[in-house]
Formats: sequence, structure tokens, C-alpha cells
Amino acid sequence: MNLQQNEEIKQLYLEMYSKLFDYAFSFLKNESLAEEAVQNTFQIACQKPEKVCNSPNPQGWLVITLKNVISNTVKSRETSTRILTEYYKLRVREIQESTDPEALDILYHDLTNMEEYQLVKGMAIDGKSYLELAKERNISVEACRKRMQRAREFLQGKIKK
Amino acid sequence: MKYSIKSFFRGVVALCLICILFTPNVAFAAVKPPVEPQASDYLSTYYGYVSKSGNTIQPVFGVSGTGMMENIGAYSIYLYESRDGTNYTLVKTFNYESYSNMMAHNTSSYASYMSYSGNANYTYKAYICVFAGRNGGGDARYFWGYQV
Amino acid sequence: MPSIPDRKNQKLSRFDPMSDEELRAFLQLDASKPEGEASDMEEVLYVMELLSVRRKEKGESRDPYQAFEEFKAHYAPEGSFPEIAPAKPKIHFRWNRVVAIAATLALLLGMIMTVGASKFDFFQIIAKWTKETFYTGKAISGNQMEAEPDITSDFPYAELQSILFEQNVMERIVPTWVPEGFEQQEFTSYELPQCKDYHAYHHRGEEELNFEVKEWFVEVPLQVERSSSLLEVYTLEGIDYYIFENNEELQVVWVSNEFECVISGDISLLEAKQMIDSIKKD
Repeated sequence: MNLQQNEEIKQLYLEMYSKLFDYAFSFLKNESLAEEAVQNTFQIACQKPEKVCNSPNPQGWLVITLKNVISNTVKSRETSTRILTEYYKLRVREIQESTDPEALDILYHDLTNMEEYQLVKGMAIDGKSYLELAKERNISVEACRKRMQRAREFLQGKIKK
Repeated sequence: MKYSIKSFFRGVVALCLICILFTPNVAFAAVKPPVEPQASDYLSTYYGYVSKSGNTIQPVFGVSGTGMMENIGAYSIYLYESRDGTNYTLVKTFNYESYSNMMAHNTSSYASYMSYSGNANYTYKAYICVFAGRNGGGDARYFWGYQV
Repeated sequence: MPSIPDRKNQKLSRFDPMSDEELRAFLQLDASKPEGEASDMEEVLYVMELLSVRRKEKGESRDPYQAFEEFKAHYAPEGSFPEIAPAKPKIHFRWNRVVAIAATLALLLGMIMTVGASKFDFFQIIAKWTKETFYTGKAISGNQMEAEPDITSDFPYAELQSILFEQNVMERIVPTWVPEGFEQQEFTSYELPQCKDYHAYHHRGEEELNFEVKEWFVEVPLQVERSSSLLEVYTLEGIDYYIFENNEELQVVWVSNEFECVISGDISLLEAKQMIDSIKKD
């Protein structure tokens, strides 16, 4: 991004932030997720400065981008919810079928304390944003995204087809 | 993202080979009859055990992936201790979030060990979870690693 | 003369008397539209503006400046929206550069003087170091052993064979042939309590080939993933090589004294046997 694009995007941000927030909140009904959707939209704008700055309607470009971000947010949460639900059922089944008494302790322990489960649950069920989850863990948003990816991989790996 | 989810979770597959030699200084690998075949697109082989040196207890793990993995290693290790060799108590939990040497990235295999200050007179075992994943998919296995 | 109604204003002014809930419902409906269904951007932007004005009037508007600070801290790509820092005196920068250049020259001079006394050419040493670094793959501090590869060998697992020879291991366990096209990408070794673990990874396009050797000093079971019963037991010079399938890959497992070995990857049964045959061949 050159300095001019920097300044343009910053001005767009200050002008459009609240409006985009309202748009996102109207659908997501969650302040943290709406906030995050808006931030992600401007993150995309920073990655494609020529597209937004050269657009005949930069405000409209932002709204369309936000729509896509919201759609991806919803899909991601739905996937996380599905993974979590299946994983929960699997663990319960394993507990019921396990003949190793010590493994029972571990399985219960995992279900309540396992970081992967808690991370995906934080998104899917508690409706937390990446920023909130990152702050809870004292890590960056990007690191949180990567942990979420690993957590979903891990839980998916455990699900029986 | 491409997902490939093919895993069977009824238990742990144990398949080892027996080769008995009569040379005193040579150790050998043990064979146990296979319990149930499990396949994986991510995991190739893995192992785990607990090594003891005086009061230092070292749960060890090794994982090989079917190829280059974005994430490979141990997700968690639960270390158990017993005074009588029969009844065990959970004494330490290691997880990859807190121990950077439990998980490696962008490599095809990984092995490492943890350290715990225990008691030379006690017996230990570890419940280990190994993992390998890439491209949005992965596999994990839980199994017991015994003191050697 | 009566004025002609402004059609645009009429179209948009219908939103003016709507409640906040109705306006949000309109936005929600727009956000729900499937991909490909165009929005009336004029209307959407007008409704957004309307809500924004109402929020300000109620004193409920969100602070965009605070949000922007949060954006810079957590979301903005690194280096964007830089803070303008005072320029450093040029003379200090020059000093840094001078010191860096001098240090590099001193190091190079020291290296040249050191190796000049030896029979080795300086540039050969650099090449060897570079190849060693490449061969040893990722450095994992504390556990990884340093390998000294035989850079003159054409054998696919030369590093591993070299390590075993250095340890006076006369066991023939390393294949000297891999299917054509496979190139080594990684070699790693791990020194663990009671075990040494070696792993070499080859690839050929998207096809992968792994060779693992575990040197055990204790009895530990190795878990091997497989999707089928035993395909075949291939016996060669008294060693049984157990061949399985792991989904679409082949797994070959065998034991030779304290060494437990595995070949796994995208190879055919014939290629697996050829690799096994190459272990015993000179």
C-alpha cells in the first residue's frame, strides 16, 4: 500500500466503520462477531488497496466484501458446530464402550478441559470472535486462527465417518 | 479446504514384530498380535514409552506422517504414577500449547521427550495422544506408553 | 408551478419513518441474499447512514478512532499505517553499517586464515556446510543429532548409512535404490532416551516416500497404521519383510537385530521389493 492508499483506506474506515458494524450486527446479532467481520473487511481492503481505492463506489465495495465475510463467518461457525457435535457424540460413545477405567478419567478430563474442544466450542457455541479467543489466551489473532485450524483438524481427525 | 476423514476409533492398533536374538548386549523389538487394523491418510507409525533415569521421568513419543505434515507431534501426554505397580494416579499433564517441543510443523516426522521430577522407586506410564494433520484434515491416536 | 417529485428521494425517503428494528431487518435481508443476487447499494448505504445518524443522536455510536487503533493492533497487515518515527542521525546508521561490514570481513579473514593452513579448499568447506544444512533438514534443538552426509555418494540414503557406519553398525538395513524420480527432501534424526530415530523423506511430484529406522535399546512396540491384513511376507536372507497397505499407500516393516525399519509411501509392491532387494546388494 502506498501512502495515498493508506490515507484513503483510513478515511474510509473512519467514515464507514459504524455503518458496516450495523450491517454486520443486523445479521450476526453478536457484537463481537460483527466487530470482527468489519475488521476483517478492512483487512481485505488493505490486502487489495487498488481494488477499493480505484472502485467507482468504495463504500459499496466494502459492503459487498462485508457480505462475503459474514457469509464465511456463518459457514465457519456452522462447520465448527457440526464438528463439535459429532466429536461430543463420539466421545460419549467411547466413554460408554470403554473397558479401561483409567481412560474414562482421561476422556472426561478431555471433554471438559481439552484446549481444542474449548477453542472450537468458544467459536461455535459461545459465539466468541477470534479477537476474544485470542485475548483469553494472550496470543495474536493470527495465532488464534492457526490454533483454531489445528483444533478443528484434531477434532475432525477423531470423528468416525 | 480439502478434508479427508477416514479414521476408526475403536481403540489402538498394536502391531510389532518379534525378532529374538541371543546376543546379551543387543535389544530387540517386540511383536504383539494385531488388535484391529486402523488406516490413516496422515499417520504412518508412532510409538511412546516412559524412560526413567533416577528420579527423572521422561515420557517419549515419536510420530511419522504419511508425508509432509503441517502439524505433527503429540497433542497431550498424561503421566501416571504408581507406588505399588497396580494403582495409578495422574501426576502431570503435558499439552502442546504449553510445551513447544511437543509439536513440529512442515515436516514428515517428529520425536521428542518430556521431563518430570518423580520418584525412582515408583512405576510410571503415560497416555499419549499423537497427531498429524495437513490441508484441513488430520488424525489422532491415543495409546498407552509403558515404562521401559 | 408544482415541483416534480425527486424519484430518488422518494425511493429512499420511504426508509425515514421506519424504526431501527425495521431498518436492521432490511439490512439483514440484504445480508441474507445468496451470492450472485445483487443488492441495491444505494438503498443499503442510505439505510446504513440513517442508522448511523440515529445512533449519534442517541449517543450510542461506536468510536471509529478507537476501533481503528484496535484494527491497527490486531488486524492490519504488518507495516501498513506506519507511525512516523523521528529520523535517526545518519552518522549512527553509517557506524552500524561500518561495524557490520568490518565484522563480516574479520570473520571471513579468520575463516580463510584457519582453513588456509589445512588441505581443504575454503569454498569446498562452504559447499559441504550448505549441503549438510540442507540434508539435516529442520533443526530441532536439544534432540537432533548432526549428520555428516557423504556428499560424494549417489545412494538415496547416504546420510543415514554414513551415520550408521560411524557408529560401527555393520547391519545392512538401508536401501540403496528408490524408484526413479523420487528426490530426497528431508532427513531428520532424533536422539531420545533409549532410542535413536532416523527419518528420510522423498517426494516425486505429489507422491511421497518415507524411510524410518529406529534403533531400540529397550523393548517398545511400534504402532503401524494399516488398512488391510498382511499383503505379503517377503523373505530375503533370513529377514522377513511384512508388507501392508495403509489406505492407498504401502507399508513395509521389518526388524533386524535392534533396528526396526519402515518403508512407506506411494510405491507399488514391485518397487517395494526392489527397494528391499537393494538393501543387500553391493
